[in-house]
Amino acid sequence: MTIQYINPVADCLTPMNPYSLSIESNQPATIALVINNIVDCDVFMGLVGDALRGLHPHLTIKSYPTRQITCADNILMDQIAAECDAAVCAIGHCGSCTAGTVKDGIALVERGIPAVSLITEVFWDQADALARSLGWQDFPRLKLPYPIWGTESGTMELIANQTADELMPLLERSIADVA
Amino acid sequence: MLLNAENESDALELLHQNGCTDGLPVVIPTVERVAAMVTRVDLDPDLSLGEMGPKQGSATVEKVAAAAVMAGCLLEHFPVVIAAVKAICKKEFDLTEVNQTTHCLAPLILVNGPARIDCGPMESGACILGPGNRANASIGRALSLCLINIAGRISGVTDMAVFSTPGKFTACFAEAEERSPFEPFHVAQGFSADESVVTVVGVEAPHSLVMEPTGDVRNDAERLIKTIAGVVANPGSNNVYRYGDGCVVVVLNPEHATLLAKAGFDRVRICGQIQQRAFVTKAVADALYGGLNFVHPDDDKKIHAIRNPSQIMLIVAGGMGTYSMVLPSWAYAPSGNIAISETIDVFPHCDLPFD
Repeated sequence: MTIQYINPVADCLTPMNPYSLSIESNQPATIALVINNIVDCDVFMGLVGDALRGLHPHLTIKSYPTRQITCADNILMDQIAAECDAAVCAIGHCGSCTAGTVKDGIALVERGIPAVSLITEVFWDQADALARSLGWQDFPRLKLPYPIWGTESGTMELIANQTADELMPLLERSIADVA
Repeated sequence: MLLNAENESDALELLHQNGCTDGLPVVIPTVERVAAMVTRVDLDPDLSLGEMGPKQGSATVEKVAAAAVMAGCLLEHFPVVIAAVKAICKKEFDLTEVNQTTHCLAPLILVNGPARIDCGPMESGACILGPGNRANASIGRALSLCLINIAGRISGVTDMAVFSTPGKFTACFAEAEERSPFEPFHVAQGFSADESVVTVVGVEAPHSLVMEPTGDVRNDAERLIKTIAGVVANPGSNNVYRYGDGCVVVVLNPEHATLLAKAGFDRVRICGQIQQRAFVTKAVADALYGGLNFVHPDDDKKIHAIRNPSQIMLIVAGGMGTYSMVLPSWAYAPSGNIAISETIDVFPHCDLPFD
């Protein structure tokens, strides 16, 4: 005899938003580095900032420590939106800081600021699922190796340089264009 | 949406395969069973109690009822489940972060007031966090299944806990109000004694503490407070590492609670004494954390595990004996890892037997 039962799984009703933000290539712009409190995030993002300045002298790089592991507060997000043209949010290096890094990126995107979130490979699928459930499946993320913290300085600099190389294409065009 | 299966055994396998269980067998949420559960609370099955992250799934009464059926709840347990879901859907619970952290954190449900009997009976004595009491076990499990199926908590995918904790299967008990020398927890929070209240807080597994009384009440009380403070100030805990962020749950067994009451302690004094005495020295913190944790502007020689006595959730429960327990919290949540209370609407038919 066939039985009928209730599907216990709830739907996510968040509508999906198309991501279409970008900054113009080779034009002066201010880029925010949104730096969470994960160990060595400040060191790593300092190296990323140095690399960006070297590659793109027309850019102004400003650091914004969130002093949080989880998402930054709205006051800081408003400040960044007022002062910057684009943002790089870092680092998704644990469960809650990945959630925070994704949320920070989306918070800026929802303020009209192109943003990229840096997520380590271990937490990539988590970030993907969260971006989807928050309605921004296509908002740009960049995959980093794990771990960043505790990495020997030469290796960290190599990762930072590679990150800087890959960042601007994500900020200068929508991810749909990149694809 | 309805699913079909040839029989309950097949349905169970499908639920397991689709990741809808906690790994243990569940009661199949048939249309009839879920409808009966919904009827018990007299709410619209499509009414959403809130969104649950990380998935942002809508916690409709029907989906919560399905979780309650799967967990083995009796109809009379359901109002407590409803209230617990409402509590964790509040923004201040930070459910997305609580579900996704690498920390070993699980929601703990405390029940106060008449619902302990009317929606149970719930256990407040021996083995409150162990097997044996159907209400404790199934109410906590229902919330856990809500987190899996509504919040989208998937182990290793969206739940990134390094080890996780048994509390993610179930963690629920009632306060031993009748055996406590103090006012009930919910009354201390401003509710009236005849209200039924659920309080949910994200915590680690319990850390036991032992204190054998000698009969010297004042000295015993002093030793007990020091022992509790010593466990709270475990330098490996997030509360200390975070320089006093987050809450700490302290569960006194009735014997320990009575001892403190005889020595003149009330809730306020107990929490104040624990807060003052639960610290590590700055030298220890510097040596252990290597300068890696957060710089706190307070250059005190003491690093307190909790900054304010109000961060201590003091409960009286458990059997008789020499053990009480401490449950540290995660302490990283954006809203501070606080306890959230919600009144339980016991509903008019809550005393009807399950049939």
